[in-house]
Amino acid sequence: MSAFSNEFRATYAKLADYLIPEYNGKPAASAVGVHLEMLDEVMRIRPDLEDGFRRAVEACAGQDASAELNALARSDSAAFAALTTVATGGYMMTDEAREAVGYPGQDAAPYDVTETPEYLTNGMLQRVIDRGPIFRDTRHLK
Amino acid sequence: MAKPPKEVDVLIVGSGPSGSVAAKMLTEAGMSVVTLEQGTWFDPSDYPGDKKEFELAGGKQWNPSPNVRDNERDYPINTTESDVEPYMQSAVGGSATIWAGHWVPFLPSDFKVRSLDGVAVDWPFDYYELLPHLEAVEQLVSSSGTQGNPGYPQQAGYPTPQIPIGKAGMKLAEGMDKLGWHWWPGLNAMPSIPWQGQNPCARRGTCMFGCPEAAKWSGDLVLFKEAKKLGHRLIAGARVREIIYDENLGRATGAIYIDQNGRERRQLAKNVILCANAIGTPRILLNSACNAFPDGLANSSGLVGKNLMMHPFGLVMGHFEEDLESWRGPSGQLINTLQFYETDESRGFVRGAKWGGMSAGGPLSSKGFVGAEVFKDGGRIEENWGVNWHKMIEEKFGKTALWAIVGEDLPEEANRVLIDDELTDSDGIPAPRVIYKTSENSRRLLEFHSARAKESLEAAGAKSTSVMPQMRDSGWHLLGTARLGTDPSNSVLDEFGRSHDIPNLYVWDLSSFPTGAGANPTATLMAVAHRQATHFINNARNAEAA
Repeated sequence: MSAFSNEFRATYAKLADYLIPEYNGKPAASAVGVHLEMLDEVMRIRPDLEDGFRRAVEACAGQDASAELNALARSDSAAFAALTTVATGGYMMTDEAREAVGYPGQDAAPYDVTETPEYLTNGMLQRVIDRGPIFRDTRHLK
Repeated sequence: MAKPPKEVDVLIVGSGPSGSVAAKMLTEAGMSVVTLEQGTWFDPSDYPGDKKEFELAGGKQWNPSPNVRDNERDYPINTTESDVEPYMQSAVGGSATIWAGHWVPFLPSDFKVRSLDGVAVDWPFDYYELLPHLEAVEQLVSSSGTQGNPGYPQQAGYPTPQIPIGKAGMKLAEGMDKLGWHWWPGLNAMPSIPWQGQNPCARRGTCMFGCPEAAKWSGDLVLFKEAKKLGHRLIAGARVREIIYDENLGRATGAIYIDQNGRERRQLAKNVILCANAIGTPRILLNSACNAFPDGLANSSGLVGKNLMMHPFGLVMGHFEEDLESWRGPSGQLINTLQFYETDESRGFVRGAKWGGMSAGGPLSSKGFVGAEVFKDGGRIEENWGVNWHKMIEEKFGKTALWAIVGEDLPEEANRVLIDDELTDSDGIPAPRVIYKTSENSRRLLEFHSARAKESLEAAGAKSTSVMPQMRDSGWHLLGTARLGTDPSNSVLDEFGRSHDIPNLYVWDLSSFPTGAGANPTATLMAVAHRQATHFINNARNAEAA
């Protein structure tokens, strides 16, 4: 099981904010805590990402996130993919990010099967029917 | 001392759609039936679709590729020589536990491609003979849909009403309407109201990660539980190593399998029916080579494993200004079209494709599709990350309607399943190797259909589109590796799915399909299994059993 140091988490937070900054009412990655308990939650769900994720964060622990991340994407695409998957996966599991993008999750919204669909009342489906069959019949080939 | 294994009337290998139909019908007919399934039971509450983690989990433990999941119950597949990654699931219910529930019966022309288009082979039976069996299984799966589709000959309706097509489905339909092209509300193997023990679809849109609502049909939900009451026995975690062949009798007499504790066991049977999918079935047959069949059991034709078909799969997304709630399901097809299904040689290829209008998934799927990395990052990372990542989410998430294009793949002997020289599963059973190259016909077909799909999205008012004409991560449909036919030199099975070589050995899964059509195959798979089981029952007295 992962045990990330505070220093490691801080480095990850910096990288995550470079990938997902604050923008147009959307919080930055660290503002929703992707580097805190959410990081442990992501690792619980996807332990397979840990090796690549660690490689990515350790390779990009300097001062120039742009240069380091671009170099990583070219030299170790698997590590870069692990980093971006951990960051976006964690971010989009937070209530704050979901609310900011208008995502309620894969919810079960009720529906009424007796309600007449619009395509029946506005004639759209009738036009398909009126154009007639489009399949090739094969009964003559018996 | 362990009791000797009891011989049963029928041994079925595999509990997916065809195996479950066979198990139900033969048990109901009074036969003693055992089904061996390499996977174990899933509980719908285990599926990630109703949990926040569903997209993350879909990248690994709920990924459709056994090579990605790499679970102990999966067998690995050497795909280094394949253009397409095969998908399947090891579970009671088989790959139907993670299918999309698209119910798209093959069309009449699909059974007569040699006669109509001069390619591949005709089936030994036709659409009209299969139709009553199709109508029977449409009841079995608690389907929901709208009767009267002019894409098909007339047929009986569906047991439950249409599931709403949603804003995304309506947007796709508007584009087709403007162009005067065919479309129809999506027919799905899931009820819209409580039906036969299945819950109504909740439109979560997570069908391909397992249905947490226990709505989408798979054999584990109801069918096997009902069959158990009639005496059917399902052994989960049973990995078949080989079919036992008695050279003196000239018959199959059962199977050797490895149970969940790693013990070798035997199940004896008067008849053996393989329903282990078009990679698993030839794997078992090739692993069952013996003196009488040195190139693989039931393989005097040399065709076991050959003619593997995997539908060419393309994706065209339209990104709209308005909120379409495009994470909402079913997923499950919202609508579909057969406008360009039939051959028109002026297009530069033969045969055609069905398009399924689908929901676009959650936010992580905005730059891909159900876990697949469709649009590769390139250039500097800032093109896709930072502020641009937020802009991509703003422009695509919830605002995307997509067409998933399933095209016909013609059979070619060079596309095949072999036994790998080194790779094994966790029980040491030799694993398969797949050699598969996408044909020029398939490439042209997908290019044409992608272009038309793009036109329809633009007609619907898309402000931008994204096209992926051929995806490696798309091997949902595996077909053709032990095909039906009337000529033993050119087919493995007779028209009832019985081996030409061994009269009590049957294959009723997608391996048996001579051609693959341009449509999701499960509806036709189950209808064919229903036909074969009906014949088996009706002729049981004359059967040449072990």
